Amino acid sequence: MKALTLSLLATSLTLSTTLATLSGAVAEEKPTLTVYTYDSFNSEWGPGPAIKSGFEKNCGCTLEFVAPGDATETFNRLRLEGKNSKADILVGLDSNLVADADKSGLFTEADINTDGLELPIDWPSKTYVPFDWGYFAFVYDSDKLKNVPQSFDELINAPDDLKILIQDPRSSTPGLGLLLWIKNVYGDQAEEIWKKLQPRIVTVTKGWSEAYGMFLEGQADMVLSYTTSPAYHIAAENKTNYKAAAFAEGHYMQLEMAAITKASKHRELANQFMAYLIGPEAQKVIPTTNWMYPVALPEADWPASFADLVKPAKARLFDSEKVPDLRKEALNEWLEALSK
Amino acid sequence: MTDKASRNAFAFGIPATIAFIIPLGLVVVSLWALWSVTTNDLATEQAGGRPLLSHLIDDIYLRRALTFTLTQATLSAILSTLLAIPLARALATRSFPGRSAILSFFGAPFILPVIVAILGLLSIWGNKGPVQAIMSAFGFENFSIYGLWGILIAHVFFNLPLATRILLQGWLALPAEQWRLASQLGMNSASIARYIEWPMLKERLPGILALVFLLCTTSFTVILALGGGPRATTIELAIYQAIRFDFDMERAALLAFLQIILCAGLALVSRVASTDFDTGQSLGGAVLRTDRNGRLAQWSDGAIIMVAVAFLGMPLLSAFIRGIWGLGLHGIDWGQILPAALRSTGVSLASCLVMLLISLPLAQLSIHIEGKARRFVELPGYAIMVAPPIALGAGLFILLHQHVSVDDLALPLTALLNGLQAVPFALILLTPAMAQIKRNYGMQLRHLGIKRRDAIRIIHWPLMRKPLGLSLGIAAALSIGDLGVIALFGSPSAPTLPLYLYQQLGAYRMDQAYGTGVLLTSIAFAFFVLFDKGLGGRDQT
Repeated sequence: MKALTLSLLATSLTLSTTLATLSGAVAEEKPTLTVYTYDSFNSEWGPGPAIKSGFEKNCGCTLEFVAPGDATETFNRLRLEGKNSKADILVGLDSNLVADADKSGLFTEADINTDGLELPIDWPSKTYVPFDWGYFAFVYDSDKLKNVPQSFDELINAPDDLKILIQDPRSSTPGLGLLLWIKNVYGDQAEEIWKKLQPRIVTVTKGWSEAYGMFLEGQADMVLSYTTSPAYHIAAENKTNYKAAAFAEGHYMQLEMAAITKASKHRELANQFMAYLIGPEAQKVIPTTNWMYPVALPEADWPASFADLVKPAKARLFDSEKVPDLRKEALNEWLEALSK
Repeated sequence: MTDKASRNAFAFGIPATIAFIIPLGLVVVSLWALWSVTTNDLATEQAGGRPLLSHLIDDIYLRRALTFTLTQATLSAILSTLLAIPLARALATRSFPGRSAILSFFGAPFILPVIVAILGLLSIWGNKGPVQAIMSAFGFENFSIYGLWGILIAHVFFNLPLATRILLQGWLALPAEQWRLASQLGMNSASIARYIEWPMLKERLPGILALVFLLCTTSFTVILALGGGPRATTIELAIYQAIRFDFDMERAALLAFLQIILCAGLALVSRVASTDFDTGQSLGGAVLRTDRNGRLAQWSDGAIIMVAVAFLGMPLLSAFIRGIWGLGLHGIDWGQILPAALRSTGVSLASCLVMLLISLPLAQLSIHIEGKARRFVELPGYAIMVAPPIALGAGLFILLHQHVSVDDLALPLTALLNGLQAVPFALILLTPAMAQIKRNYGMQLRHLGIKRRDAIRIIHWPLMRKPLGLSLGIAAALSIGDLGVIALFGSPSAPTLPLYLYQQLGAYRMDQAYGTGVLLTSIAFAFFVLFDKGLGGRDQT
């Protein structure tokens, strides 16, 4: 028994020394550019790996992605770390969070040329640089769902067994997108709409990945995602049965931004990365990995799977300065309606 | 002699004072930090002409969180306790091979990492699990493990074994004479229940109800994994959401403050509700009951035990099988798992150290103090129970995050709070052992003038190693599996093992998550066994 006790003590000592060495051994000669991003961006099937290897080829640096969760959580993590953060860049800031990002005072202008960006709207900011965009939409499996709702109205009045999966607007950008979408369409009646939607919601997940995974496992008929999501199933799986429902009211837009932090100690590298992100190499990767529209790629170069996607009748987007107040109001309505 | 003794006492006094002050100090400091943020917030609110109370009442979400916290805790406590009554009675009445194995198995949920148990419950009760299939075959389509039902199932899963063990003690503590008398008088089951069992239950049920209620009020991981939507959020989780989702420190502070007040109230109520009962020495044998010899009674007891074992065992078995399968399918990602496991190990060992540094001097102190003042020594233990780790963590975080990087703060803070959380358990184990040493050997030690070092070697160590090993084992296992403070502040690029598992769950990589679950459980149990059996020695008693 004494031997066992001794070995126990020895093990714990070894373990703690290893731990200490591990944390001490991170110092290396090449500079590391730390990029905070949301989890699906840096998953093995997301754009992260390709962008990392592409950028590292020429930068003489190491690119490290850190993914604390969905986009909102990632931004909040950065706010939590504040001026002590080791993040040089945030990738995946939602257009709806720009006002909050401004207020946080954590970001600084990028020294890059953004003239070549092609967006459905004007976007003059030099601090928050869009790298892709898309429309929120409900995605369904056309083999299983036959009577597809063509508007919010039809969704609300659909048969009772039609179930949907959505994300929490407080932690996830698609969730926030739907919140603002409904607010944009219905204004003061938004709370009524949520009350009517509530019985259809299987669960409110924290992030997009969880909801989409559950949808693919067949736990609901429709999931909140993007009009571009079906392109993934076409290109990667050769499946054409996943489709986005086109809603008559029009679809809310999302622009995804990247921004350099004021705390960044690698400003030059950071600028280089921003330029790379909206440059041809990364832009070519993004449509088939992040499954969003590129910001700087001629339509002729878009992948074939993007050809037949739903084109919304109307693009909806609130002014980013108005979002914080509207968001607060809409969030209270949402909480009120869904906590019943 | 007296001089030396008093000097010794004084020397003992310093660590004891520190151990006494640290937990209390931490609670006070974090309360103060929370309060200062909240009053800031409330001052601005009041400037807008809205008094404090209406601010609180108007907040739908907060009100909802409070109601839900109390509802789920009440239901969990009632369900766990009510289900424990027939189960404990069946276990007390029947003796059969494997009974003691079942009783040891009932201790497993205590050291099992909560997140792993939830994985198991998901695989049985989840949307693709067997229960769901049976339910939908009978036309119940709407059952979902996410939300209140799932939370209740998980809480019963954790607390039913606990309640059963306490009640079983009650049954076994009933004097054998009562049973013999009942059998001589030919009492039927109804009168036995009324005259023998009910008085015992009446004494114990309030304490069990209060204990389970308190545990469920502060439950975090279960709600994080199974609740979280606007319909199923507790205050504990709302603190987490305020920080993680809304980045609203004022709100977090307000919620944490509310949570501490709530828990302090509950702890007070539970202290009043639970009377100290004399458990006596049980022989562990089955109770003699001639009234329950009938076939029907035998069958129903057997069925109850089998259902309970299935309810508790199936999720574990399923999590294990899916975990092994997941590991086989995806292998072990050593690059991720190893650093995470090492971080968890480091945190766990550090929390063991914290636990020892606080609870040993406190246990020592409590045996030197006589009478009413002993209650005073229990104070730090209560302070820890009353301030839930998330609330405490939020307070300390608010205090420190301007000065220290969150990344550097997360692991030490987790270790500290895990260590503190283990203190109440350790005190329960260590104090009686210390008291026994003093009672049995105190005089001899003084008369023989044995040196302190020798006394520790000859007397303290052999007698203390068992409770020490057990409390270290519990502290280590709890800390290894902990997903509380670390979920709040843990660095996503440097997760502990439970946080890594939670990340996999969030990304819906279920197979990998089950695989990590098996590893996590193995490490937690390995630590428990290593401390409990290695340090504690085999069967010293």
